[in-house]
Amino acid sequence: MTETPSIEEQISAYLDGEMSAEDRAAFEERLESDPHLLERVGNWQQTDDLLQSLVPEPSDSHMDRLMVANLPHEPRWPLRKVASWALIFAMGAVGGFGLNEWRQSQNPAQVLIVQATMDATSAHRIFTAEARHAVEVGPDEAEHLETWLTKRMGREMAVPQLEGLGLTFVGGRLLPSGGKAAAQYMYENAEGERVTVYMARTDAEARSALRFLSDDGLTTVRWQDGPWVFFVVGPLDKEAISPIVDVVHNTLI
Amino acid sequence: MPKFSAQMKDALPHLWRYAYSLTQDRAQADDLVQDCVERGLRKRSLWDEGQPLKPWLMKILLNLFRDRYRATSRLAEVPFLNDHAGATVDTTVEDRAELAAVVKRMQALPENQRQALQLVAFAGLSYAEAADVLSVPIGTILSRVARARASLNEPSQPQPTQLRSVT
Repeated sequence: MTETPSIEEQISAYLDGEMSAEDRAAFEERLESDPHLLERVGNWQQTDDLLQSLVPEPSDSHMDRLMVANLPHEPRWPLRKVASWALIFAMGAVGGFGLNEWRQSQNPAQVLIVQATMDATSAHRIFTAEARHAVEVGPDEAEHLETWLTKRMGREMAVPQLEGLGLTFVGGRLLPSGGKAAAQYMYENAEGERVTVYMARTDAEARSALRFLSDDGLTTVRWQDGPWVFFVVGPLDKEAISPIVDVVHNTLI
Repeated sequence: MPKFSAQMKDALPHLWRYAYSLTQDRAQADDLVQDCVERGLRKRSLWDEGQPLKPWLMKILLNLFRDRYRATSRLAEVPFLNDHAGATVDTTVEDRAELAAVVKRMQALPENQRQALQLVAFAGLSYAEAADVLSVPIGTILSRVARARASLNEPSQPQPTQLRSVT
């Protein structure tokens, strides 16, 4: 502060621990010799305490519950609620897991899935925005794409057929994900909206149910099977994306 | 500087209290915190690792609150409704009366003063951090917090006509 603070400002700074050591010492000295000021500071402190009592203190367990509130055993899907917690979404494979445990364990497999989730979403956003270079290999070379990706990914990479759902195959590409190869297939509907399928390999074997995450107009569905983690990402709501997920799931499992 | 996840975890209780102070509602505070954390994770790359995470998250939360409630003017500017006394245990009649008075004065605060006070009192931010969240100089936070506290403690008489400057 450059100007001399008002007495109200001094009391505030004192109560908030915002005074320098010297200012604090000087202020306390003054308190000792000024009963009126002392009383005023005491009253302000009481009001602060009252104020604090207006806002509950959340328990650790409540915060933990908040984080696991969106795991799939929750029966309802109020869309906005589902939107929360990308992290839990990403870590769903390990069951009810709070940040607490996550921080303590820092299991690299979970971190990888978090990374994969982010990669899948980024890949969707980046490449669906491309008009000319959306894919590396186009639909006319679908067979070559399958062979190539099968070789690089080390698993069967059949292209899911989504024409029945109004989605045309746009093509695919190979991407890096956590030092390994990942693959993306892209589709487009009549309105020009694009849906991507993304596959990556993790280090840990697991099997999970479908996890839905909606945010910013984008729905992401993830599931894991063995070391493979799959994502379907698109600007569709859960009802619209579910049948797509079914086909992709059946083709790639 | 501790890692993102560690800092985020440490900030959670403060995020929740701040969200509660804005919404006055547990469920809505839950929603805001969840959405805030999710947005934080998504925008993680935009966070400057040299800076503490908490103010950055508070800013996200405040923006979410503004987008959600101000736009629909559903909850805007109605902090501290009555069920608050319920938040405390062991309140005497006297305390309750006092509490009610504080609640009323809190409601009457000019918004920028209340905002500054909420960030300091409930979000657990330093003046410098609150200044960062609201994009104002630190001295402005000091003066707003001081004015807010002065009003809570020594409310002006039943509004004299426009004599009081409110910034």
